[in-house]
Amino acid sequence: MASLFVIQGRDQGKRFDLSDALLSVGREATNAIQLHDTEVSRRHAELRRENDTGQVLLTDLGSSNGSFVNSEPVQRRILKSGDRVQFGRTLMLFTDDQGGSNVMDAVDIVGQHLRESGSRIVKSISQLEGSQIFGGQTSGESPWLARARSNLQVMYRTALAVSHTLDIEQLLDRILELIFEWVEADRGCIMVVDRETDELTPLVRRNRKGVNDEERMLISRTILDYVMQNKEGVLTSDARDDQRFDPSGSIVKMGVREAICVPMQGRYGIVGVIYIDTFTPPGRMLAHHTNRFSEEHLKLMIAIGHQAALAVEDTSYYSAMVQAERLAAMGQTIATLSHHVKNILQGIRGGSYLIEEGLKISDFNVVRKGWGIVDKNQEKISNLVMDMLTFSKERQPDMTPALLNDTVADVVELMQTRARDVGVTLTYEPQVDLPELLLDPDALHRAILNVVTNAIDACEKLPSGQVAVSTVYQPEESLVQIIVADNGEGISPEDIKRIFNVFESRKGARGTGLGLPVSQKILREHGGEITIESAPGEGSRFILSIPATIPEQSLGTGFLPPE
Amino acid sequence: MPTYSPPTRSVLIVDGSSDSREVLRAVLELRGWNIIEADGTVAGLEMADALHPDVILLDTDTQAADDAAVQASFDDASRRNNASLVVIGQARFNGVDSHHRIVAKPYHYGPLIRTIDELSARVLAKAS
Repeated sequence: MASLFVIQGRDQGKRFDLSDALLSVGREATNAIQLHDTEVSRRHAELRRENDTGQVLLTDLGSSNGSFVNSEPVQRRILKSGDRVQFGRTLMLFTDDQGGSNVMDAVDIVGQHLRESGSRIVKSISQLEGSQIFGGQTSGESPWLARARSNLQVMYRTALAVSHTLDIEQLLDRILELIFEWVEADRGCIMVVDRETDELTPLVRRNRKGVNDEERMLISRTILDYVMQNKEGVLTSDARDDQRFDPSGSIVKMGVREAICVPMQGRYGIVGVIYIDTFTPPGRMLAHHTNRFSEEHLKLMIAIGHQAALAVEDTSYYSAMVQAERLAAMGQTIATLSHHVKNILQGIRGGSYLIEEGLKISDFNVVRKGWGIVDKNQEKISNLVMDMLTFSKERQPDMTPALLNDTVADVVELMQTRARDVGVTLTYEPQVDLPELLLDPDALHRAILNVVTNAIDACEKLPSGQVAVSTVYQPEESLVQIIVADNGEGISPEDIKRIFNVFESRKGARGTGLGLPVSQKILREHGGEITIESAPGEGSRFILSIPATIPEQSLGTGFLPPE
Repeated sequence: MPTYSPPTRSVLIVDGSSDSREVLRAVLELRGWNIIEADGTVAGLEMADALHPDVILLDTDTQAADDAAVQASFDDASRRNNASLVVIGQARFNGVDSHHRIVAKPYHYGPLIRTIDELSARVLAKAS
């Protein structure tokens, strides 16, 4: 499906699915795609899916500030996957999975032998050997290679340094740190364009060791304006002699002798500037005339600026995507839980209504029915909250010496009423010689309860539903298992793959989709696992396995399990 | 001498929630309604044609009942059987008219029961 993903602007992180044939875009709420951007017109543009080709046609509806595709103003344009669409300050990435060329069709992998493709290996270089180009200089190396190697090394290390971070300030700080390794600057600063105000905002600064940290860093607006307007990097080896700047400008007053300021030119525009300088007070300028910054430094800084800009863009868009994913996941969680809570409250409301009606006519059978419904729903909400708490927290099980057979027996006893209500026979066969083990009985109770509940639900519609619970001890493998087998409807292999996914439920409105993920989490906290054997129409076996850890005080004490 | 017996009013409750069905059954039975229950839409449609209820109650949280085509099938079934259709939740089919009642969620049982009672008049008129 085609979509627009907002990568810049107030709506950053939003994704608009273009599923309808015609969608309007604008500032007003009546638009299918509403952009919270004052530079977007009320009805700015429309996106129409062409019937014959399925492509999306963008048409500007006479907007005040125009519509842009890949930075070009457009009236009408068929969008292609990867196009950057800009309305006002809002920049979006267009993606469409239809109509793309299939790489599989354009590439043939022929034969297993190189001979068949007409190629042969002339020389091979390992990754380690190849990366030695970044090592020390070798004798006889040409100046071109030396320079290229040096610049490559800078870019390579920049790329390595700026990857895998989601924090823009941390990223810029690392870039500045690297610049100080390669360029003899006294002070440096990176400023980023504020998308709301278009103003440059300093985000990180650095001083070379020995340079006064407390001194405020004054940066010439003359230089910044020039760099931003002309999209050029500048080197001022002596500000007084530089024709491009007004002699009465701020550089002279500030006494800057050499400065390099480069734009951070990204894919979609300038995201900021990098500024470095060496500072000499006006009184010492005549005595120190050696240039520390050369044209090569400027070229290198321009390349670093570009690399840094790409990294800033990537970090910014990746953050937006992560944020969008988080919001989507949170939205789904809230929607699902709200739905369950709403159903439970509706049940409580129904039960209360029955109690009220029963009291009105003094019919205690009706009152009892109402109370039964209220009670059942109280239990449901209690279970839901417990499952949510168990699932949401990273926790260590509260391991204590306990009899697993007793824990399982408690669950079976608890579920007998429910099983009887729906005509299911629930049996329990404990392992007779199961010793006391180290486990978290409360947590395991919940894990087993969820599995047994599911088993009863799976066969409640059968005329003779059966759920058999048993425990099995395998001392030679230090393993204990709780087996819950039912003769219910069974589970298809496709459903088994998804059975532990949160909020996946095959029970419709009755299931929360939390029970099995919670059980699995508890088992894993014990170092165990749940395995499933099932076939549609034949029933299922859930095997809950945990390591059988004997408490130290039971070892060598001749401990015997209770009869 | 012939004795007068009031016409039997029947309501088909199509609701996936056993709690809701239990509440409605208890209260409507006290009011003299004959209750038919279905926990799914397929069974509900079959029962509508087989048992000709006077009122069909469709909860849209029941599996597939939120689908416009499924709701339209219940609309057709109610018209075929001269029954009133009460949709609990959001109605998604075209042609909602005086033949239908829409009860928004979350709902209170009191007003819902009153809505169903109001339909008695239509049932009685149909019987006479």
